[in-house]
Amino acid sequence: MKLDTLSKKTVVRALNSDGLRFKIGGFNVCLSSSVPAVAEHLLCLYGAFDVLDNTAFIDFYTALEPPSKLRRFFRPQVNFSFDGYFPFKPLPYKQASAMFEWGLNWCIASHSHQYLIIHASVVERNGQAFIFPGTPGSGKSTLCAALVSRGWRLLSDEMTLLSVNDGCVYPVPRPISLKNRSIDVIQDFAPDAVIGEVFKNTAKGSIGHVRPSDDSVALGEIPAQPAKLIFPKYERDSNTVLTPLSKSRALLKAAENCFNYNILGLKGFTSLSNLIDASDCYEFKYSHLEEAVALFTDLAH
Amino acid sequence: MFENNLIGLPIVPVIHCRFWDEECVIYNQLTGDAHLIDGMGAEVFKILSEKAATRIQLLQTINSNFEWEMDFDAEGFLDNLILEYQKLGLVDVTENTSA
Amino acid sequence: MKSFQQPILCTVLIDPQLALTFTLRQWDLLIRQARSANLLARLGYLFESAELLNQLPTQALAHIMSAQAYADRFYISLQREISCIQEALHSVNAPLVLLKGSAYFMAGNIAAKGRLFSDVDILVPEDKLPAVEDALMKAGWMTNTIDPYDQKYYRQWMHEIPPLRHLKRQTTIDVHHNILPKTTQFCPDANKLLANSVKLPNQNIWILAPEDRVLHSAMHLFHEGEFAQGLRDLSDLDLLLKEFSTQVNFWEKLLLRANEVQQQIPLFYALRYSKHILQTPIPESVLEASKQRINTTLMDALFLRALLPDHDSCNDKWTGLARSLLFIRSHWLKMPVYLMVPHLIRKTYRRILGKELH
Repeated sequence: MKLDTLSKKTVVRALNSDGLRFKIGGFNVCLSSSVPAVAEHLLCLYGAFDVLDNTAFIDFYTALEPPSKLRRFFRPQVNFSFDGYFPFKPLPYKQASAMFEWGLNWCIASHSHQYLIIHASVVERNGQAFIFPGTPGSGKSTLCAALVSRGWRLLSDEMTLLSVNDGCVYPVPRPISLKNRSIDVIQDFAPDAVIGEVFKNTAKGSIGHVRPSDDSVALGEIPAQPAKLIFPKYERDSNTVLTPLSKSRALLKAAENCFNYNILGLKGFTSLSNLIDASDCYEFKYSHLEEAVALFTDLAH
Repeated sequence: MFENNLIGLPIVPVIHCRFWDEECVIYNQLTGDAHLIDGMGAEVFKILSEKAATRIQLLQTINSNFEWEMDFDAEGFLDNLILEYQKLGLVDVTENTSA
Repeated sequence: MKSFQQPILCTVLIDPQLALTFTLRQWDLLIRQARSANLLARLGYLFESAELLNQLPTQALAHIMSAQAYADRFYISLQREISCIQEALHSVNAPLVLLKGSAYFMAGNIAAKGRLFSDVDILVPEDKLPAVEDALMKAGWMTNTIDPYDQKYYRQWMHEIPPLRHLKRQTTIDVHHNILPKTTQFCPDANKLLANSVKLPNQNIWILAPEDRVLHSAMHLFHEGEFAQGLRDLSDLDLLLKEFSTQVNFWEKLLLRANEVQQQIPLFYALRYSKHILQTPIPESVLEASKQRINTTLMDALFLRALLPDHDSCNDKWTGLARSLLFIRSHWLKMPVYLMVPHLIRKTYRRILGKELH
C-alpha cells in the first residue's frame, strides 16, 4: 500500500502512536512524531513509498519530538532520536522535517558498513549508474534533480551505497535536497517537479526537497552497475566541459568523499578500486543544465 | 647503500596496490593511508610488488625503461625513493640471504 | 530472586540457536537491544562461531555485517595502537601490562570477540608512573584534563592518572597503578597482581593471570557506577569463565585468589548475575563457596535491572532509580563520605553550569 493512499488523518494518527512504518529502497524506517508538519512532508514527498505493517523488520526507529513541553512556547525546538539515542543537538521546531532527512542520512551512514558509502548522487540510465561525488560547490543535487526530471532513475541524492560484496550500487531513492538558488533553478528547469516546504535559515541556508519520481521509488530494491564516476563543478557562465581524469587520481578524490572508507579499511580500498576499474572517470565543469543533461544522455547510450 | 640488500613488500601483507596506466595507488592497511605514485616511482613499485629485488636489478630496469638527462643522478634518485617508501612502511629492506 | 523477564538478547547470548525460530519482529528487537548494549558485533561473532550466519534473515544479517565490519577495523587500529604504546615505553624499564579489552585481545580470549571500546588500559608499578608518563608525553600523548580540580582528584585519590590522548591519532590511554582507587575499602594490592601476571609468548607484553583477569572484570563492573555497558561487561565475564573453566583447578584458584586480593564480594556478584542472567555454567559448589553475607534482595532488585540493556524494551518503572542508586553506591565504595559528598556536589554543580556535556 502506497503512502499516497492514506488520509492525512491516518498518517497523523500513526505518527502519534506507534510510528509510521515505510520502505525506502532496502531500508525499513519507522518514524514517530507529534509535529504536525511532518505528516505534510511525508504526504508531499514520500507518497510513492510503500507503507509497512507491524510485522516488518524495521532498520531504523526514528522520532522527532520537542525536547520538553516547557519550551514549546519559548523558542520551540525539535530533537531527532534513533531508538532512544540523540545524535544531534535540537533544531528550531519549524525545521523538524528537514531534520528527519538529515537524521535518516546519519542513521544510514553510521550503520550500513555492508556498503562503501560515497557522499555522491547517483542516477541510472540504460542500466548504467552515473555517480556524482559531492565536493562543495559541485551542484551534485541540482544535476541529480535535473537528470531525474528528464526520466533518469534516481538511486540516491545524498549517498551512493556501493555493496562491498557485489560491487553494485543499491538505491535509497529519497527526496533530493536542494539549497538556496538551486530551488529556483530546478523549479524553472522542471516546472512539473514537486518541491516540498522550503526551510529557511537552516545551517545550510534555505533547503527544499524534490519528490523522487514514482519509477525510481518503485525500483527501489533494484541495484545498478556503476559506469561513470564524474566529479562535477558548477562554475558561473562556464562552458560544458567533460575532461577525463586518471583512475588513480579519481580513486584518491573519491576516497576523500566517502563516509566510511576508513572504517572499511582494505575492503573500502578494494571496493573503491573495483568501482574505478568499472567506471570511466571524469571531471566536469558546467553552468548550463540543459547542456549537461544532453551530454550525459549521450554518454549513457 | 642497500648494495647487498633485498627490497620488497613487507612480509605481513598490509600493502596493497593497484596500477592504472603509468600511475599506481598504494594502500597501507595498517595506517589506512593511500599514496599516489606515478612515473619512475610507479615503475619501481610495480617490480617490487611482483617480487623483491636488489638495488642493482632495480637500477637496470629503470635504465632500460626511462631516458633521462645526462646529469640525472639515477642512483641517488632510486636510493631516495627506497628510503621514502621505507619511511612510509611500503617496503622492507632485508639482507639478501640468497646472494 | 526478583522475578526476571529475560530480554530477548540474553536468550540469544545463552543459546544462539534459539534465534532461528524468531519472527522478523523478534529479530528486529534483538538487533535493537544488541545495538544499545554495544553487543551487536559480539552477537555476530556468536552466530558465526555457531555457523548460523547463513541462516539469518537478510535484514538482520545486514546490521550484523555492518557491526562486524566496524569491529574488524577496530581490531586493526587496536593492534597498531598497542604497537605504538610498546614502542613509546621501550626505554622505560618496566613491563607493559595490558588490562581489560586490550588484554583479552592480545591473549586471544573469546571475550575479545566483538568487544569495542575506546581506551587502552595499562597497569604500571606506582614508582614507574613518572617515567611512563614522561615517555608517553614524549611520544605524542597529551593530558586531556587541564582542570586543576580533576588533576588533583585523580592524583590524590584515583588508581590511574588522567587519561592521555594521542595528538595525532586521537586515541586514549588510561595508565593505572592500581585497579581500584586507593580510597576503596578493599583495595587490592597491585603488586600481588603484577607479580602474578603472565608474559605473552614471543611478545614483550604482559597480562593479568586468568583468575585475576576475571576478578578485575568483576571488580570493574561491580564497583562501577555506570551500567550503559553493563550487559557487555557481564557477557565478558560469561565468556572468560567459560573459556577458563577448562583449565585445571581454575575454580579453586579463582576462589582462593579472590580471598588473597580481598575481592570476594565482586566475585560473588559476578558469579551470581552471570549465572542468573546469562546461565554461565558455574558448578553449584563454586556458587555456594562464593556466597557472602549480603542483602541479596536489595542488590538483586538493583543489579537485575541495571545489568540489562539500556533500551526501552528492557526498562521498567524502577530501572532509572536502580541505576541512580548504583551510581551513588559506586562513589560510596570508592571514597569515604567526607570525600564523596563534596565531590558529588562539585560534579552536580558543574553539570548545572553546563561545564560537562556528558
